[in-house]
Amino acid sequence: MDFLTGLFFQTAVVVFGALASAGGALLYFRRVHLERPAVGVFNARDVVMVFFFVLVLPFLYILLPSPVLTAILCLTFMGALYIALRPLLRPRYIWMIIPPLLALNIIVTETLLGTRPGWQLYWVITDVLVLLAVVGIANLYVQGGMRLIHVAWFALLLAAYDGFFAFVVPISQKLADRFEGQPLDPSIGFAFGPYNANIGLGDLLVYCLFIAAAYKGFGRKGALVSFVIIGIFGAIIPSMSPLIISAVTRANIGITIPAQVVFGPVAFLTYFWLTRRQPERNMAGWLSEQAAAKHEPIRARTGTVARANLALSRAGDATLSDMPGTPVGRVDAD
Amino acid sequence: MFETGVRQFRMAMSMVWGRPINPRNIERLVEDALKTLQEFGTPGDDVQTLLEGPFSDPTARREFQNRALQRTARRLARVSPYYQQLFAEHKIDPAQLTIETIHRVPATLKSMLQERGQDFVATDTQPYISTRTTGTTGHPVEIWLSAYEIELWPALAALSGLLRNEINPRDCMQINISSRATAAVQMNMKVCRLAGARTRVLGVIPPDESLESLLSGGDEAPTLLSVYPSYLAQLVQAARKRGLGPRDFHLRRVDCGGEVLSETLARATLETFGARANDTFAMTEILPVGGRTCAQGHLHLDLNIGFVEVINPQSGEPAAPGELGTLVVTPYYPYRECMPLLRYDTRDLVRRLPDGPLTCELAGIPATSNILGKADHLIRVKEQAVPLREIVEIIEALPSQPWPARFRAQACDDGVSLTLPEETLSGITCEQVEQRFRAAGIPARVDSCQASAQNLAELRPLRADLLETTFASRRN
Repeated sequence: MDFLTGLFFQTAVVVFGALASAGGALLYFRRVHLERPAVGVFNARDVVMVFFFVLVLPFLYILLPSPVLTAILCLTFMGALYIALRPLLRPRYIWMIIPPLLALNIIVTETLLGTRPGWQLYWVITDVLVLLAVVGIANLYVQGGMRLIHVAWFALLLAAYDGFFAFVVPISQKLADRFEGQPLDPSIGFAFGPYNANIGLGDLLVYCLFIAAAYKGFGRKGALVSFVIIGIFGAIIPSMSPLIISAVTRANIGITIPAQVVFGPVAFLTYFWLTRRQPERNMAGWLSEQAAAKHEPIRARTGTVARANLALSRAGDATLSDMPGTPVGRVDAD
Repeated sequence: MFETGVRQFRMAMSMVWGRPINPRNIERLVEDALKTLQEFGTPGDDVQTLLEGPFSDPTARREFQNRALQRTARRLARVSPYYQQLFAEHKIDPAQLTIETIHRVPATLKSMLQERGQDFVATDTQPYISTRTTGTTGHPVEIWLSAYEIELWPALAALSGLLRNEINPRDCMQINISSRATAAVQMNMKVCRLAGARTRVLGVIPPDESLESLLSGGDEAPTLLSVYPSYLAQLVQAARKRGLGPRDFHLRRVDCGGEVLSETLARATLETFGARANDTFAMTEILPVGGRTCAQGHLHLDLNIGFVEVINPQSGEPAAPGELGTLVVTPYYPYRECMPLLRYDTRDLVRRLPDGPLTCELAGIPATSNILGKADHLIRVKEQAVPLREIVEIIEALPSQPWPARFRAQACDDGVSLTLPEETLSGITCEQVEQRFRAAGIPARVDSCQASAQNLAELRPLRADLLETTFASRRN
């Protein structure tokens, strides 16, 4: 009975985390325009880069001393939250929000985790941080040109990675243990009674990327299909898997579920199913459709950005800003 | 995206440290720019800020220019026989040169290039191709370029052009400049190749043949035209004679250079071809430094690539605001490698703009007036200087639409003595023309001449006269 209650609680938390972050990413994609560099499109090599970090970071997380790990997480969250909030708030307000939130999370972790309300407060703060961060990063990639084919391959690679490190070399469990009670646990979770359940940032990132890229590429149909497969194959089935797979359950600590093992292949097949009916739309297509519908997205105020760039472009800080502007269509005089 | 960042960083480091820029790296950035345009339709949000550069801050500009000048001069002291000798003669320490002391270096004149051309070739480079100026000033000059330069310049131009939407893969550029202008032709061709655009290299052929090319190809007809103003004038005349108008052409921009483009001709170009005439500035000797003219008629030279001075042609001192001066240009290393020049006096006249902020679309880049003509063709009437542009503007605005303006002008006791072909004066008398000049503040005496070949040969030379014949014209 306790096992089943725990399982249902886990399922509820995972379904909520997966759908809330996916919904948030979709809403953000529809309404908010992130700045992008003058030149550069997300491509397959970037997927490899991201996968490389996903591969390496868990080992670092396990090996690093707790204060160092917290410092790294602080920097990571600061960057991600700044990206997410930049179009919505002026920088001075952003910096009035992010550091206090991070500090609050650390203080609550250090002082209140012995109590049930303390755990709940911890999870509420962490959930807000992770939700904002994952929505921002997913949108940075998708609005930067990441396509559904990239997400599908990324999910498939993660499926193999997740399976290997859950069933062959149990890193995932060690990682879950490492973050248990750690400030800024990169996951969305909650505590209720004796139960504590969460879903990791990596899984949430894949769901956010998938739904935003599917919506960009295939419109409403892509978003609906994404909600369905994220709900079923990204949340419900992985959460229920302990009923049939004992390898992911640990007697008195909890359950660690390699969700991508289920979601990755389905995401991959879904991509091919979607492209069979219509070609994937690029950002230009999406933007022109928005322009035609007279949808004006929220974007960072350009005046502030221009000043910031100018400050970065002092002599000696050559960037593309120092790019020679040789005119095209040269006609020489003598 | 990550790779693009690395490429930008490599490019930036080359610029900061003054190391040779890897042309292949820039070409890859061009490919990145193409992919960006394909994915998003436009470059990123901060492109305008990036393209304008950091030069709206005078302190930053000064620092950058001092470092670039010293870097360039140090290299010249090492590899240029001509400048080694010049520095020694004038006891100049190249490492100490700044924008305040650069005037101590005597300006390099075209005659020096003609007399001692080989002494200007850097000893650490391998000359690859020579390009000869067309000799409108009477004496062509041979300029040697290295393979590095021939690869780098188009790559930089293509990247800048793509980000400014001056060229895109849907474009087709028709090149109507002299085939002997190898540097310009080769550069335009490579820019098109890198940008994925098409090119039609025609040269200065009979205008009707060029017109046919502009009209042919349906949706793939030329969208960009690279041309001399005098040849453009002939194209406009030919198009009007055939009753053609903007709907018959696909042009979106006409790039002019090498001669004075009058406002009348620019307007006629827009009316006839439906495309804006873009008055650019470039010169074989100072490549790759170039300039573009803004909507307010200022010439904005690219400060990233070279140092630009406006010098009083008589005193050699910096021209005061509002004063006439010639452009003296120093292309920086590592942009100019094979035949580098320090303080090259282009003899192109401009007027220094009054001090104060600019309000044009290129306000971030310092500017001068547009090119007014060659200093050597300046006519002095008592204390008044009459540059070529002022004469061309008045003549090309005459009701006979004499495009391109052909005339002979020289100073005489009571003003400018002008000789115009008879057809230029159709519908207007010599006295009326003189009145127009007087209204512009130029005392003038106008005579006419018959349009014989001998008479025409005595009028001012035009690049449109560098005609390259074809068998098509012979058949017709």
